[in-house]
This record gives sequence, structure tokens and C-alpha cells, in this order.
Amino acid sequence: MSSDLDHYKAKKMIKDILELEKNNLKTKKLNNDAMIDKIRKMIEAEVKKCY
Amino acid sequence: MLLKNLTLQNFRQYKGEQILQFSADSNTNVTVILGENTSGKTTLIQAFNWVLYGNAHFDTKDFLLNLEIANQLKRGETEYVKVAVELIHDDMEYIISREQLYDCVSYGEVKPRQSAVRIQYKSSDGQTGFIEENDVVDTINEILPEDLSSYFFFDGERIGNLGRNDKSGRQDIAQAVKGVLGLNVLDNAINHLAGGYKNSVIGKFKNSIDIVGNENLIRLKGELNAKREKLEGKKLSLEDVKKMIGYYTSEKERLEQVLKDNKETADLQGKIEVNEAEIRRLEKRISDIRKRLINDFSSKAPFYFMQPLVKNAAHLLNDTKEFDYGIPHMHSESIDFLIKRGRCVCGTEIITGNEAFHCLMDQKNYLPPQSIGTLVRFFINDAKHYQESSNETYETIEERYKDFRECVNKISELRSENAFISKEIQGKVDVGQTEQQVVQFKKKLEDAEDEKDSLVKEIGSLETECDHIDNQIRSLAFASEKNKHIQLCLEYADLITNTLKGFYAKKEQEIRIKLEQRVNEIFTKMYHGKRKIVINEKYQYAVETPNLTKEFQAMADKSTGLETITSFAFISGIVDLAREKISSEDLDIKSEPYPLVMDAPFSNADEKHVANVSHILPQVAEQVIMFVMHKDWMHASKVLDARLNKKYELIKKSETHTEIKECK
Repeated sequence: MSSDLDHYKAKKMIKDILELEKNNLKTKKLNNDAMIDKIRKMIEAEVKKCY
Repeated sequence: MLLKNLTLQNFRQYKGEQILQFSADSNTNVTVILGENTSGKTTLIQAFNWVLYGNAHFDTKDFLLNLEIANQLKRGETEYVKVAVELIHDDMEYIISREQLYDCVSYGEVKPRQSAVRIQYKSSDGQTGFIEENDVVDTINEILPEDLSSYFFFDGERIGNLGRNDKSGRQDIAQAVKGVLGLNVLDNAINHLAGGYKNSVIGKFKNSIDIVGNENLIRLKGELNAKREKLEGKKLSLEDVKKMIGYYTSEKERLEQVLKDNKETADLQGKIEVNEAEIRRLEKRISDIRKRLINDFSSKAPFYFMQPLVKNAAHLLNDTKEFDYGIPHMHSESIDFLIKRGRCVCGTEIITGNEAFHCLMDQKNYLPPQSIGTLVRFFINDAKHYQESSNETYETIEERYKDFRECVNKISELRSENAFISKEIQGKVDVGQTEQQVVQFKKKLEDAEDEKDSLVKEIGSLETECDHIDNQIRSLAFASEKNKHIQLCLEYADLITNTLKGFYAKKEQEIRIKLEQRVNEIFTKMYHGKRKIVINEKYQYAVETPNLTKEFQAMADKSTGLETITSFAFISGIVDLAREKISSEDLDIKSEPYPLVMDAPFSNADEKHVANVSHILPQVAEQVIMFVMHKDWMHASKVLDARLNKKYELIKKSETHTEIKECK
């Protein structure tokens, strides 16, 4: 694994993902495929910001 | 959250408008609704589910309109079903109501429309209004999250399952732990990130790796896909095998319970078999005795019966000297010689047929070996011998006959006993057959476990092989600039997944230990004894008896009453944790009261345990609402009367009409 990983960034992503999951648990608006897609795009966007 | 009232309109068997008011008083916090089976108790619990979340667990879940009302509808007419619950949450009053219209499209055909829910509120300062349609679901979940609602609304079957430590009970407890600490959120996140090799964030990143133009990568990708397909197939097979193991285990446990419950029948069936074996042994003995009797009789009886005659004859012959007609020292052969010579000793001519011949032939009868005297002597000797040997005949035959009669009587006794036992166990479980079934399920379970172990090994190997190919792909792929971005995304996804997994494992263990503590706190108050409950990482629980080693723990008696107490201890422990969790999510942390709504909570408890449970429940929840059968209320009322505020009875007017009547 690359040693360039930003753990602060990783924590932020964890927080965002959990928030997304918590909301979806209540509203049930997004199905599994949609959730996977959303999380994937979230990670891609964060990684793109600084690299 | 405290429930104030529930209003039903044409909901299932509740025809017209019917209202239940619930006690929210802190001292007298118990509301009881009495009703026999099929009177509509479970419908009331489902009414809560429907009004809050639009769910109803009935066979005809899509048709909730009272059937009498539906039957009366004419074509083109419309009727509605409505349920409303009034409650207090966070110093605000809410009326949550759900309505569903039904249209009669033709004779006998009534169709439901989509249900609609709305919330009216009234704040402590008197302000009223309606919650925005888009915010209704969120508001309901803030008041009582749907994933936790099942820990506040308990039906009888779940109450029983929790205490029985079977698969459904364990799943219920596992779900409670996930739901209570928000582990559901973590669990979902982990699944979305890394749940499947195709259908997950990590899977999608891996699939997006650019391999065009790279022969090695294309080959490796092909190999990896093939192995993954095989792996998924094995995982599916493993799931199937686990289901079968679950089925076999539950069947085996069910049958073992049947055997346990029918131990008396088993003992009686065993007694029948023992008696039958003894009957067969005695019948063989009778056959032997019969043969010997016939033998003895044939050989000895004539002499036995002849005895008096022979005795008298011997006496007579002994006293008589007249039988000795023989010429001394003369033998029958001498007569033969004389006849052959043709001349007697006295010179008389002997010719066959003359007088001399006849005299000599007559004389022959009195000479040995045919002499009467000899015969008499022989007879007297034989008579002595017969007498001696027939002295024991009577005793022998008598003994044998006695033995014979005893065997016959014993057989008759045993047959009567078997007939009596058969009558006793008529209609009861065939224990022998059940035992055979247990053996069969044990064998099937063994085979399935072997298959499971084999699949687990294969899956492990395949996963290792997949990881190996994966690493090869990564090291080849990420040499290209194009794939470096994907590599980084993958690394972050891996890091996030591993962090969440670690956190999940730690939190799950914490909450499980906490649950065990809470359950035991409540268990010791309900149970009159010194046992305690231990929960392992698979949510299997064991009730430990003090001063017993591990080997003997399983043998300690576990009654239905203990199962009931354990159920309530779990329910109370879970409710406690759920309340803590909901309260802790408020920024302004305060202890929010919550109700406990239970359907048929006392069905399997004996009088003593009903009293214990009744004593503790009002202390565990701020509001207790129970649906109870009359027979159970008899025992519970002795303890609960002091905490009782409202009492209702469900009056079943017909199969399609129940009325709620308040008991003053």
C-alpha cells in the first residue's frame, strides 16, 4: 500500500459515508446499487481533490 | 415517547371507530387489554406498525378494510381504513394518522389505494400545525426508529423465541445488538464497500482497472474472473449448506424436545418391549415343559396308574405257593428231546397228536423258561421295580405342571400390563419412531457439517488464489499512469473498510457485554434462584447454574418457566439499551421514557413466574401495554392491580367484528 494515504482525509470519508448510511437507513431512498455508486463517487472525488 | 391513545376505523375486525386510551401515569403505568385467541390482540400490535411505518404482517396485508364493511359496498362506492396514534415525544404532542381508501370497482371486487400518512403536532406552548409531507418519515423515525420499533412492540411468538435459544431467537438478539448501537449503519457501510467482488465499491474499482493492450493483464483478469465465479458458486453452496444445517439442527432440537417432553411415554414403551421379551421367553419355556410333561406321562404314567393293581397282584402272588407246577430240574428242552426221540422216559410211544404228545406239550408250559413260577418270580421282581420308579412320577409331573401354570399366569399378567400401558400411551408420540428420526437428523447434520468444512476450505483456498492474482494485477496495472488514480481510490477504500471492520468488532463486543450485564440485572430480580445468563459471540446464551462444572451445566433442568423469564430478561435488557441509544442521539441528552407493548406475554409462564415478571415489567418501561388472555390475567392481576390504570376487553361479536369495551 502507498504510504501517501492521508488518514485525516480517510477519517473525513468515513464520517461522510456513515452519515450517508444513517440517512438512508431512515429514508430508504437509495437501493444498494445506488449507495455503492454514491460512495464510490465520493471516494473518487476526494482522491481527485489532492492528487 | 409515551402513547396516549390509539384510534381504529374499520381496521380489520375493528368495525367503525374504536378507541383505546393508554395510561401515561408514572405510578399506575399499566394498561391491559384482555382477549381470548383470535379476538384481535395481534391486530392491535400490527395497527401500531401500520400507522407508523405502513407495514402490516398479516396474510392479507394488502387488504385491511373490515370485511363486513367491504361486503356492503356497492359499485362505485368508497370506504376508508384509518388508524391514528396520539403520543407525546420530547414535550410535543403528535397525532400520527394513516388512511387508506378502498374502491368498490364491481360487485365483490374492492381495491385498495396507496395509504397516506400525516402528522399533526401541538407544542407545549399551544402551537399546532402539520408536519411537511417530505419530513413525515424522518419525524416518525426520530420519535421511534423503525429498526428499533420491534423492541418496543413484542408479539407472543417472539417472546417465546427469545427465551428458547434457537436460531430465530439468536437472530433476533443479533439484530437487536446491531440496531441498538447503530451497528446497522456500520454493517451496511462495510457491505457496500466490500460486500461482493462485483457489487461493491472495491469491486467496482477493481473492475474499472484499464487492461486494454496488456496481454498479461487480460489473461490474469480472465483467470481472476473465473476463480471469482467459482468462489461465488462455492459461497452460495455454503449458504445453502448452512441453511440445511440450520434446518437439521432445529428439527433435531425439536425432536429432542419431543423426546424430553415424552420421557414418560418412552419409559412406558420400553416397559412394553421388556414385557414382550419376557413373554416370548416364557412361551418357549411353556413349550419345553409341555414336551417334558408329555414325555414323562408317556413313559411313566402307565406304571403309575398300574401301581395299585400291580401291588395287590404282587402281594397275592407272594403269598401263594400253588403256581409252582414245574418238575424240578426239568427244562422245556427235555420235553422237546423226548418228543423228537418219540419215546417217553416211561417207555410210552410219543407220536404227534397222540395223548402222550399232548400231555408232554401241556407239561412244557410249566417248565422253564415258561414256568409259571418263573414268570411269577419275574413278575414280582418287576412289580418291585415299577413301584420304585413310579414313586417319583407324581411329584415330577406335579412340579412340571406347577411350573407350567406359573408361566401361563405370568404371561397373562404381562399381557394385561401391556394392554393397560398401550391404552395409556394411545395417541401419544411414537417415541421409537421419534428416536429414529433424531438419529437420521444427527447423521444428516454430520454430513452437512463435513460438507460445510470442505466448502470453507475450498473457499479459503480460492480466496487466497484470488488475492494472489489480484496483487499480480495491481502490481502490473498500477505501473500505468492511467490506473494510478484507481489504485489510490482502492487503497482508501481498503483503509476505510478495515477501519470500519475493526470499529464494528470492538463495538459489537462492548454492546454484547453490556446487554449481558443488563439482562442479568433484570434476570436476578425476576428469577428465584442463583443462575446467571452468559451470551457468546454467536448470540447463543447459556443459563449457568452455580457450583456445577462445565460438563454438568447442560444437564441442569431448564423449564418452560425459565425460558419465559429469560425472554423477559432479554426484552427488558434490549429495551433498556434501545432507550439509551435513542436518548443519546439527542444533542440535549435526557432520559426519554418509552413504552413496552406486549402481545400474550404470559402464555408459557407458571403462576410464580407470572408474578415475578409482572412485578418487574412496570419498572423496566415507563409505560406498559399488555394484551393478555383471561386465564393469564388471573395470576398477573394479583401483582399488577396496584399499577393498573386502564383495562379493556375485546368482545368478539363475529369472525369479522370485534369491539373494544372499557372495564371500569
